[in-house]
Amino acid sequence: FQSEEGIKSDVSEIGSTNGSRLSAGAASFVLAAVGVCLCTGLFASGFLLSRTELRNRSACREATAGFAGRGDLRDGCWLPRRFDRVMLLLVDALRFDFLRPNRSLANRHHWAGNVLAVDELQQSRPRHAFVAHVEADAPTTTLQRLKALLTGTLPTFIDASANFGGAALREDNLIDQLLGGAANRTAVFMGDDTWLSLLPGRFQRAYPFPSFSIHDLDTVDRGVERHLAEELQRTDWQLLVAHVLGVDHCGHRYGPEHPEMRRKLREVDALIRAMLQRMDNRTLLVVLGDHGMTTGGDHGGGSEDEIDAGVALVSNSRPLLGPEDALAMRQQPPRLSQIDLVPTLALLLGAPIPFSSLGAVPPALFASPGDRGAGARDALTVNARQVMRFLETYQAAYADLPATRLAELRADAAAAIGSDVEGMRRLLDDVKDACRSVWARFDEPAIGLALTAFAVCLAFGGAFFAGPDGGKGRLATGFAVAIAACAAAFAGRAALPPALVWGLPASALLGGAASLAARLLAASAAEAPPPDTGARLSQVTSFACALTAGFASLSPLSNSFIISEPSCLLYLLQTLLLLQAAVTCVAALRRARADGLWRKPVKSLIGHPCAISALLHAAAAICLRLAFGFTTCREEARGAGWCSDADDWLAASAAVSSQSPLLSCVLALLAFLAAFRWWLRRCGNFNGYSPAVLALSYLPVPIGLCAIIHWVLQAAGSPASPLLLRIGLALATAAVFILLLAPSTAHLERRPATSRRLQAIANALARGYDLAEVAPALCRDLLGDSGEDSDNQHRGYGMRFMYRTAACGLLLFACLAALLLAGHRAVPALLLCAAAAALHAELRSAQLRLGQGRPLAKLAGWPDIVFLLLLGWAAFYACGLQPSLSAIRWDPAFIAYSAETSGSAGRFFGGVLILSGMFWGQLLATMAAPLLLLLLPLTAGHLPFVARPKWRRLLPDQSSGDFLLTDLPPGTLAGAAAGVFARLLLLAACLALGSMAAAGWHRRHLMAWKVFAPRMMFGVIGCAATAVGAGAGLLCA
Amino acid sequence: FQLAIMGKLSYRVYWFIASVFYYHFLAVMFGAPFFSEIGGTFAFSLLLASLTVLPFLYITPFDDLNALSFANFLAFPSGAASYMADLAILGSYCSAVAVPLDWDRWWQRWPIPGCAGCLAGAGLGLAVWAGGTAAVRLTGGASKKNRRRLD
Repeated sequence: FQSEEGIKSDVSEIGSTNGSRLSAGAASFVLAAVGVCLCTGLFASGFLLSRTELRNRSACREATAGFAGRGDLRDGCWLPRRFDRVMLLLVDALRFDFLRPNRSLANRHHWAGNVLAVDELQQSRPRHAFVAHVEADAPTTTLQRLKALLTGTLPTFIDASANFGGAALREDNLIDQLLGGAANRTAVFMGDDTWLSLLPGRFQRAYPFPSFSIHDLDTVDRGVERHLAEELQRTDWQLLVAHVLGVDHCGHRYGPEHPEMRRKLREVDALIRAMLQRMDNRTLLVVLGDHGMTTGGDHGGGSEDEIDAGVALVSNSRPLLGPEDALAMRQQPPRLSQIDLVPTLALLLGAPIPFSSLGAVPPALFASPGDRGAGARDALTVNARQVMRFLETYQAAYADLPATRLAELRADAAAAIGSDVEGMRRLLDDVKDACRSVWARFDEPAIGLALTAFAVCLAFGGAFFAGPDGGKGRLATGFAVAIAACAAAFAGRAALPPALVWGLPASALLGGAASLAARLLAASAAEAPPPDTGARLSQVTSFACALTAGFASLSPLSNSFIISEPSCLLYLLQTLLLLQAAVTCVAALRRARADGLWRKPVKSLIGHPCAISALLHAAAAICLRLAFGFTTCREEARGAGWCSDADDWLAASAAVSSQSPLLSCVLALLAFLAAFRWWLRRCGNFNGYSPAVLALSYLPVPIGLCAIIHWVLQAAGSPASPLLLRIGLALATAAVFILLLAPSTAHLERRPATSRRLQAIANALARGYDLAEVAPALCRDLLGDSGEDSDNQHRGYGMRFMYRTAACGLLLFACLAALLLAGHRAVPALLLCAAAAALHAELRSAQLRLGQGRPLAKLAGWPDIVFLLLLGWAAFYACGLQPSLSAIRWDPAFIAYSAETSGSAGRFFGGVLILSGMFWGQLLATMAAPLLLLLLPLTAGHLPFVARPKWRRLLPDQSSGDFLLTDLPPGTLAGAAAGVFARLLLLAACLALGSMAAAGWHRRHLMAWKVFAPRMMFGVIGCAATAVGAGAGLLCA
Repeated sequence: FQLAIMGKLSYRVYWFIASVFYYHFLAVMFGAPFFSEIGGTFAFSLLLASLTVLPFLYITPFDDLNALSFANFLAFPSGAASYMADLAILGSYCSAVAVPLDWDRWWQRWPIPGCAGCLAGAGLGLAVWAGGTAAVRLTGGASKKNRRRLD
């Protein structure tokens, strides 16, 4: 084993090489980081559709519409009322061609020629049926479609609503307007329960059915049939909504080309016939698809088949259309936008148009014979005024639209409104296009460009940092060329063909990667590393680590792997762990062979290095496995039966007694605090009265008590007051500041002068102590003092553990703050993951000590980094979180502000607290990373502590502690820490890139908005958390 | 004499049983359910141990060595057995990829992919070894490295 001098020189070498690399490549690293941020922003702007909700509502008596004074809803608000009642039959995934007779196709396709009721009516009474295409906007998922159908707006992935809340719709919507707030209007609902979460409390009678299980084709439909038959007998309702899911589920399960599809569509036909039969003269029937389906039966994206839904409006007595229009529309069904139905239905039923609606009424439905287009003009005028009012209000609030475009629209509106029918239609289309271009379109070139540029930055940042030392100049040139290509593509993305926009930088990236690979190959061929088995082992390890990291970054490409990501993570972590144990075993055996212990018989396994590393591995593996017992199921997995909450141990123990999970969490936390205190005391840290010592000895317990009392109060059901959490957080912050400002816990004590010591010994002798007991102490004392000035002698406490005490203390307070934010569910996750990290570090340390060559050169290498990063994600899952929007925990926000009155600062802090309450694992793992540098001193060779004497001589059993780090030139340790952070960040960015690429690639996937996009957001935020942790850690370092 | 035989035999039996339980432990650690599939997991570990440890126990000469010095045991050149063991472990490791996929096939239930991967890996290992040996025999000369490996 190498001497301490060797260790010192190694550490300083690591620090200086990392430092010099950093200083040499600092500019490029910062450049790459900035590039990554820019790319993420570009990706988000191309992928995430964002819009802010307005809370305004249209009112019945309103002068803005220009038609005030029509009285109330009974007569019609903005236009005369034409129907009293409406039956809305929403058939999920009713594509337009499902609604057509298509008799020629019926033999070949199961989906064709089944819904004939509408067509028969259209043949017999063409003026009473209006059939049209309705084009849905992407994302074509049911929730987004329902929102669009109710509010008339272009939907987005994230509706940045005015405050945090559930799924309930807060914007002005069709149902609220149709009900008009009048008590005597009754609404009935049956079908998909999504409606009730969107519109709670609107329906007097509701028969909801769960919508999630796509394997169940019939439950919802049977229920709707049964209740529809009952409701059609009654006459007390004005609004009836029936939402059937069978067609959609059949599409997902079997696809449209399946006999089941024929059966389900015929059932829809039967439903329509039943409704037509019971329809009175003042009722309007609307049969509507919310989106279409692809030939594979899925939906979610924006392909022609998915957006082309069908709608049929049917009246009984009063004709809907003029004779010419009816004929023309039978020949050529018109194409509407889905949101056009909102103003249409509102005006037909005499209600005001919802405030945020962007739809345009089809004039044909409002024309009556002999009015010379006055009806259509009135309807369009009302509609155009409403849309312009919305546009002005929105622009005044958020200013999303370009000013020039808005000015054009205003001019058109001034010219057309009130007179020019065609002008108003054009105006409404233009407004829709303008808003869509801002809100609801994937910018595919931007997505591709962002991903490519991200990869460019990552590749070159990584190459600069970890690549060979030679040829940096050429690398820099390549980087500059690739970045220039990206910038050129970005500037010219409007003019260039889309494929070229990202193809250009992608080819630059490929070229760069190829030349880099060639360089590396040439370098490795030239070096020709000696065929040392140790080198081969480390090659295997790093190859396996690279594979693991690669799989972790690529796994978001499959929705199955995202849904069962906790299991995948566990698998990867266990792989790394087992690998380290195996390598340690082999290293120990090799060492034994080198030292000639090879051929001697083994009497006992106890104390054998292999057995010890197996034990360490087993302990770490059990910790990890237990931690993953605390994950919860995603709703998708639970619905499909892959996962049940019985696997969740906290939930299971809650079934035994409602208090037991909390109790065990509390006990575990107290035990952890006690153990930490014991460790500190054992390291001699509790001497003296320096601020750090005081903070470490007196603050952890009160903070822990704050958390515990809060949890108990919460469990007891008292209204949660954030006061205790605020106190705890304040204490933790104070402790962190104390430790940062005065980190030293070392305590120096003047040794008493020789004469006084001699006096003490004399006293001891006088008190009857045997000389034989006192003599050794006497000798030691005198020998220690020989030849030195005794007055300058000091005794130090806690010196050996100076650095690690400060680092661990900071981490402890960070952990406590995380627990305050994340709640008691985080206790097992935190403790188990921390134990796994410590055991893994121990294993690595043993392995490095056993290895030949310079162990410190591998300190905090890729294996440690990969393990730590994945462990951060493991902690995320182990405290019961999942990367889905429904799993976000909002509670920590209430620490920052109690009422909704607080302003944007409160919201910002609330957001920060929510995020750090969820991503504490990544933050802590990153902050713990520099501890890896203290790995060898930290673990202090526990292996020989256990090992038998025979094996012990393989290992150095003495450790000089942190002393060997004190002699290093200043900044070395910080430089080394910066290197560790750089690697962590590189890896975290790789993971984020994987999830972004998955979201971009699967933007048309059925699960895009349910699985991939949330995973992408969580991945990026996790990477950001790593960056924040790295920043904080650097500051501390 | 009989006792001595029994002793040697029982060492091998102990090692085999220990390896079965260790594989079971590893399978659970890698994510197999604790209780619900305990029979399946045990069958899997039995199979894996039979394909990986049993051949070594069969061919390793225990006479001249202490039974516990598995350093020797691991270092013993064993041709076909080591190919089989390596690839069986690799196969059962990689087969886990099939478990989480949402294809809803009967063969995705837990012990089945593991056992299938293990068997396939072992078969592949034997095939590779046989192929390599045949190639060496056919071409006549073998490099030193190959001979040592295939011995």
